[in-house]
Amino acid sequence: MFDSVRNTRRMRMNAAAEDPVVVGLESFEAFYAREFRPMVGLAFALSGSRLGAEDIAQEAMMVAHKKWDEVALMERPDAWVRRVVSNMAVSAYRRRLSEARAIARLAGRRSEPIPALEAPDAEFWKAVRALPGKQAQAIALHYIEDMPVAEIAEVLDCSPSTAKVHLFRGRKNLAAALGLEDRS
Amino acid sequence: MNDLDTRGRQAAAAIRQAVRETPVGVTRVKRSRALPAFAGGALAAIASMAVAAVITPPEPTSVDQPVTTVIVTTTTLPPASTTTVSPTTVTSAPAVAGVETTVAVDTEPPMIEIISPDDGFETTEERIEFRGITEPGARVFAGPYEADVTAGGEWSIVLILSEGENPARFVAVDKAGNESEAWVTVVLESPEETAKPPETTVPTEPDKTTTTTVVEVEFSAHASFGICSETPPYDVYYGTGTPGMVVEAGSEYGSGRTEVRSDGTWEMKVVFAEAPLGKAFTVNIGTSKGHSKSFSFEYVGE
Repeated sequence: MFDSVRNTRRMRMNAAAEDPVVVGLESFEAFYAREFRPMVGLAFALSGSRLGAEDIAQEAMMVAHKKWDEVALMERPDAWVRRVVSNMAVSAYRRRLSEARAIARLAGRRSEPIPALEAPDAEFWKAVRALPGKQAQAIALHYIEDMPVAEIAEVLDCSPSTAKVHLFRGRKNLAAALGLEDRS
Repeated sequence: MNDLDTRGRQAAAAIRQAVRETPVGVTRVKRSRALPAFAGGALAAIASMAVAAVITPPEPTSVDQPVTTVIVTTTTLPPASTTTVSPTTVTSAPAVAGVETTVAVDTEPPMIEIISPDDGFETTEERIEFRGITEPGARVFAGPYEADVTAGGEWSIVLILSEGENPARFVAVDKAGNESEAWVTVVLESPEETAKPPETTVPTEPDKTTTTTVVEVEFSAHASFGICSETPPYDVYYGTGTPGMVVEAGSEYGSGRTEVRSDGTWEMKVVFAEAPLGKAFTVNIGTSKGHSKSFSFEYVGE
């Protein structure tokens, strides 16, 4: 019975249909297949850990899997999981946890890390990570996910105007740190 | 290159490229704690390899062996990953002189029965557990979702109903790929309907008591973090258990108590306000039925 409860499936059955084809809600498997890599990218940008990014993304997916009954019913399950990923990635203790796992994994030679970035790109993300957490998250979502302000707000769980402020300040600070021009 | 957006887009592209180059997927998922549904893809691959291995005639160790009989078993994973075997009996050409290889195929569809709920069952609960029995070793599917099946063939799956009539079809698939199906229709009543005063003589309360069954659920407990840097430090424990069972957390620096929900899951946040910095301690999770599990927790500071 353990698995029966843990693996509770969300399934809407179409009462009108002769064959009760599942409609509406997406399976966790499909969600994972589509979203895992982008989540790793987001985690990589915000944590800077080539070895820990996958752990962070996977940990977030674990949380989503555990709560899939609720998450699947959300309007934007992907936004919710991105929030978990970005929070984990900028969280100090999560970073330490990931690094600890990374060290253990490296020692065991069980996995290939994400390839290292070229120096200019690495420098850019290092500067992003030096920003205050919400600014860093807004910047990462803006560039990696190409998200408009409204979607960034959804992921950060704040109002669009607040997200706009995070993005604006993040851009300003980032441009200053990198000696670049912000033409926005 | 002096523009922030140009650099940002380039750096983002580099991240996407780096992630694309990294082999991430099923094997990593399987290594993690619990994503059982992901075994599907791997099983398909394993199944196809197993079939290939099984139907390859073994190297004869002695020419005295007159017949080698191989039973083909395979795993069918509807709807996408399907490995099928034609329901025929095949006798291949002898692998070596005097040795005949026979492939026997199971063509009998598996038995499947729905034990509960009864056909036409009416409920106000959106979530309902379907239970039944099938041939041991067979798998049971509701649409693309797979039910949990015990070694004895008892299966169960929890589904969410839509309002009104819900015709549910369950398909049993045995190891040879034979299928059979069973149907049941359950009715989810709308809250408005249930709020109306009863117009018939059928009492609602006694029905509730007679249809309420407490399903025994195996106890499990997990810690979400194990460490924390926030103040006050906390951890979230979760797991499964029999509905109504009391679950308690105890430690030198904090405790908690909760009850297992009706769906058999529980979750409890425990704050360790006085936890010492950098010193791990033990948190014991126990239940009113004598289950016990211990976890380590450490406050690592900001």
